[in-house]
Amino acid sequence: MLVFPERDKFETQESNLSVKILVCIKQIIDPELAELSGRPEIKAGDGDAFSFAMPSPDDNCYRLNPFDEYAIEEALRIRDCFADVTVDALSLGPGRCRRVLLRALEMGANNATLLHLDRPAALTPFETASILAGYLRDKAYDLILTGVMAEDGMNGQTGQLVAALLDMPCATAVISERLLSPSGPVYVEREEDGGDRTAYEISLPVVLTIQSGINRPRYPALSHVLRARTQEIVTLDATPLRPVTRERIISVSRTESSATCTFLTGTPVDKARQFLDFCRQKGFLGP
Amino acid sequence: MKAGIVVIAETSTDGLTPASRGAISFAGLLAKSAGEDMLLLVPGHFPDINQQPCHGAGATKHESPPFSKGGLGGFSQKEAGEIAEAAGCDVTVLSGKHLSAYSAEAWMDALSPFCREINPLFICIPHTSRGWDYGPGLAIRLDASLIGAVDGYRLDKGNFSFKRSFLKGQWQMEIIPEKWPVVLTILPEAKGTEETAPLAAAKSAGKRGRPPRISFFSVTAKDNRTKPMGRLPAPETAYDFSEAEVIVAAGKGIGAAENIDLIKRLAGVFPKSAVGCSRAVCDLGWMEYRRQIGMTGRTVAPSLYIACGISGAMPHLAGMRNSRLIIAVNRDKNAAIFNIAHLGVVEDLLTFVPTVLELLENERQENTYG
Repeated sequence: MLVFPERDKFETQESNLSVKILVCIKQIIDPELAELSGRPEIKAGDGDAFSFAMPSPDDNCYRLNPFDEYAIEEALRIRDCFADVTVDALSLGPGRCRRVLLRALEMGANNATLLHLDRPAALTPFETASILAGYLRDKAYDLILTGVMAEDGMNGQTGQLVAALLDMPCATAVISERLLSPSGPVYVEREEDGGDRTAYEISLPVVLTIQSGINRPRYPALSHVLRARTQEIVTLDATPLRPVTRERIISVSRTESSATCTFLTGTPVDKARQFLDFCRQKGFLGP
Repeated sequence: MKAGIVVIAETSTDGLTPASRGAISFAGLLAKSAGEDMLLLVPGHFPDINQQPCHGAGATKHESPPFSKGGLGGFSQKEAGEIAEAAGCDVTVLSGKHLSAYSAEAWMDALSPFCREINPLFICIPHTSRGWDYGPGLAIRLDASLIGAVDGYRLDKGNFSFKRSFLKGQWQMEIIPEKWPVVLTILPEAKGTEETAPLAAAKSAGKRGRPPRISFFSVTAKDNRTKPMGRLPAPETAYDFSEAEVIVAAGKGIGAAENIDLIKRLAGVFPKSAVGCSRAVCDLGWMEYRRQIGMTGRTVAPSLYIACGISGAMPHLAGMRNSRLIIAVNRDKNAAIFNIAHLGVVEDLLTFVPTVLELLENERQENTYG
């Protein structure tokens, strides 16, 4: 039986060493919003990816990946613990992705960069990670944070791939984190199946993918919202960084519904009555 | 050491984990389709092996199994023999003290030289919190392609394609690998992982023409940057779902924290019931994490599961798909939860649940006064 170290030991201290943090964020299509408005049509793309084809592009169907919001918040909390920390936000995609970078600035990020890729096609995790790693190769970030997965693609691979491409260690599904000093190491707890946690100390630089629920993301303060409007979002062309693909999406389709589900029909009252009849018939409602 | 299909297993104190057995079954079907041999890699700390002298920086092969009395950190000689026999696959045990506690770096260090030497077509990893942690990094080290959360495959004119779902399980994509080897993380419920699936599917396919072999290697630790610090049990695991005959679970679709009360009242209708929820509901602070059902929460299998406003994304399904009967209530008729439900109610919860409660109240009054 391993004795778990006391948490107090990991209280962060003031120091003048600088820490550079990058948060990788994604703009995703909101499944609910897209579904409610009858959009988007998702169809197989021309070649190496598929595209979220929007009959009339509606920016309201897009939003910041909620998991990345926890990553931004966690970075800002680290900044609160030390004297000299910068938090940069990075996104990859077409021009509309500036909106999520603006959101990161509004929450309090110092700088924002868009790796611009014009075609609104969904990239495979390897393509995304290769472009990010290509950009990051000559940057010296101490911590790279990102959400545990994107809510649209549900791959949960980009962070690990970036780490491996840059030969950095990585921990996924981080549910608790303490940077022990500006030069590291970072103490993390990662969430395993069933909710058990495993703890690690990892030296910097490191990639952490942040699990939802690690914190409560802040709502942007008005002063930050106003400041963000004056901040520049650096835009770089990502096209030269595109790798040779390793996987190809050949088709996209609705998940076929099971033949076993019986849908209740009629008015809400009809449905409620059938529901109760079913439960009673199966003996769940008691005598 | 040659095989077209490699499976990397996880062990617990009970031996091979169920997810690993699922991945072995899936790989068995893949092996049969591909006409290839299968090999099972089992990394871990099996102390009896470590007592053997270890030479060189890499691994030392032990010709005769240095097991004693069966127990080896949860994986026994008996189990190794059984799985080799049942699946017709070679079993290679990688043992090192540093592998007793999981860390992605240590596992990748131990596994990549073996995977490189075997040079298989496919490397199958169970899609667990670990497999999904080290799988992508392993793929990069092997210059491999990577397909995650695989729930099925298809063989068409000699080309394998793999299926995975996205957008909360409502959509599926089919992916073909363009680079070998291919690292696959296999969902516990992928087609072919059912317990009834023929574990022996690969048996007939093999081309090695000899009985399966079990080999043992001591693996030495490489310097790495990740230091395991221990393991914490899930916080507050006290909530007991096991007594409940009916579980009513709330998803983000309930809309607001105050609607939890409605879910509790619906649960109150059933004599032996409990209230659970999806992860999203916990993250929003609407319910405590101890009530979370799903991959990172509790796994339940009640007689009746009523999913209210739950979209049915894979992580939630992992925790409740074995319920005997599933009723789903969701206003989105395309919600993936309906794919596994027996009874579907496409209706707004804020309409449906009060209507149910009202009907019951009317019945009660009729019984009292009628």
